[in-house]
Amino acid sequence: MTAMLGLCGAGLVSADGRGWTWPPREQVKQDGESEAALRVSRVSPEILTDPVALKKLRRADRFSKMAALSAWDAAADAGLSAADLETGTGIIVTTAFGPHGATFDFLDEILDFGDEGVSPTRFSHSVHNAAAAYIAILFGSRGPTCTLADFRWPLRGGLSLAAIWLREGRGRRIFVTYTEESSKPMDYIAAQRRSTGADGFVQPFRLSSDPRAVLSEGSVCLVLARPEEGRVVLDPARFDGEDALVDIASLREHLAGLRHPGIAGMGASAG
Amino acid sequence: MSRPVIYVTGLGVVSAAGASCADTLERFRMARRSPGPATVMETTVTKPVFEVSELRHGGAPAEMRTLALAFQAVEEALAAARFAGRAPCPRVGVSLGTTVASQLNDLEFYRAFRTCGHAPIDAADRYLRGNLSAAVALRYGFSGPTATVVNACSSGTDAIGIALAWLRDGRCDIAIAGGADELSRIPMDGFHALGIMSDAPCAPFDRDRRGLSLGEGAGILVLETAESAKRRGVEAAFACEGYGTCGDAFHLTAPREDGSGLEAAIRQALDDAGIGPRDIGFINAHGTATPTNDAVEGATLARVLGGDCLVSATKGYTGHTLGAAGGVEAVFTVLALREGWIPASAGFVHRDPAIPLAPVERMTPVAKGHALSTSLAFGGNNSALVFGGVR
Repeated sequence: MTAMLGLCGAGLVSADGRGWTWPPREQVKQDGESEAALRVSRVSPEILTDPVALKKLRRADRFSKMAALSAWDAAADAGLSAADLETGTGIIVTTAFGPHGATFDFLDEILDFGDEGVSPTRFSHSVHNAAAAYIAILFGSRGPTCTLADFRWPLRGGLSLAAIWLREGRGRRIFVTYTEESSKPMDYIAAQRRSTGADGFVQPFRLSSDPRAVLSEGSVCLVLARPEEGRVVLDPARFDGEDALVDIASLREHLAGLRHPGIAGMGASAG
Repeated sequence: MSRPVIYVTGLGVVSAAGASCADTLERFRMARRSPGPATVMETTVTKPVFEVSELRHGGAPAEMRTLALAFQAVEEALAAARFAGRAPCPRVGVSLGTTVASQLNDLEFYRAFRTCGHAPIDAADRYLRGNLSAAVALRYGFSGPTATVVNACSSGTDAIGIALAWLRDGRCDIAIAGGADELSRIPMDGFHALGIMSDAPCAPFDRDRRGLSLGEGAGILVLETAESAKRRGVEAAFACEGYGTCGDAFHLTAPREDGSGLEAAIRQALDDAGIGPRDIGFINAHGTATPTNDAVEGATLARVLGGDCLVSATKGYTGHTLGAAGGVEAVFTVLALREGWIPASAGFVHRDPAIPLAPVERMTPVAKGHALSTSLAFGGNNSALVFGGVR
């Protein structure tokens, strides 16, 4: 049985942008793909260049930057100061596929330069928990961090662990981030093993009980605390995986970080 | 309110140190290790590795090697726990750590895709079937909570910590916990690029250590509530007593030099177990044999637990098994409590004057009290587990 959680803030990075100031939705067509091929929504590179939030993350990979930006915005939405974040903060990153872009970059190096010519930086960014480490560095947080990989219900596992950490007193607030990135090889796999919406898009954050479902990219972060400390009480049992973001979107009236038309659109299309 | 006691009712392990718990203990008694050139992967990096030679489930092309390693250890652990695991088992959870099994890193798939824009999809299917906890749960019909922890080298330890919390919280009655990882070209090349792999088989805590050697394996514990064990008529002599975890918030690949993150994790685990530093009879140290890890860890262990605390450093037998290491070494820790001795630390010859403690040089008796197992990881993860006799 999972305890109820208090939701204190949220942050979101998606193809539609970040926070309140959203650039136009960018729908990127892959080089050389046919009209029938998969279309994928990507996060614009401009979004991942925030000089303040990403000052300590200049060398970070795309996956880590998306996760960290959503956590940064979630902290702001929750009204947390830098001093608040240094103590009592737990960080959980959940994902289905992890930073595979960094992994493919590393494979490129093996193919191009051989086993003994690869970059150590590219290798360290291909490790799944790099994003959690970057968020901890960004916040100066010495609390627990954990990264969970789950093809079916990544967010649910993170919420469950957050409830445990709060009950055990491992943190007073837990950042639970759910992050996915896209890449050409993963798009190809999605085309072979895809689960798409009626409009032909892979549905961002739409998880299917079919473990072969593939996502578009983005990151959402929730700041969680004990129920009495949240703006709204969240029942983790609602997050059964199929429509996780629809459930999150339903909370947007409470959370400035989620108040965005793109979320409502996703909710409508996934509903 | 007192916390429920969480028993260890089953153990299973496979590594280069042995294909089972009994096999491992035999090799430990003889202080025998078997590093060699890599045969399960192709790479021009020619560092010695610690491969598993007796893999009962190996060879199925549709299955990741990590899964075969995990299944072998799970089956030994379930047999030891006298748990048949007949599906469905809604009160059995699975919490396992890994690194390699979480990555789509098939070089031949990627080479083909990069060359012509399409590739045989079987590599992707193998990956999509390879989520470690989901695969174990599916195979044995366990439908309780699952978690695949991907915290790099502390994954196995953290997975056990999560399982402990589930059981204390009543989310399941039994949890399969630990870690599994296979040797792979990706970490082999990556660690080589980082300049932290040794040309010779690794020598944890040795003055002349030159870095780590990679290994592979799986270490699995069956953790169980006292009520469940009693209901099944299973007796247990040891318990998983405490868990601690703290981040460094410092660097992606290096620990904080003052060891403060590891110290906090150890103190948390001791508090969680309700014991003090002097109650620890021995430590199974992370001991990767890199100059930095062993210096930071050794200084921290000495500061927290005293320079005279007995230290076991087992990566000289197994190599660094990455996501499996926490599980493998948790099994070794409980085996040592059960047997009453820790093995000689293979590879350790010369004490490092810069480190205020050293691992044991020969098979050494230990008290059957409490023991600590530590893990440090990329990303600044520091985690610790406490095991002890059932009081």
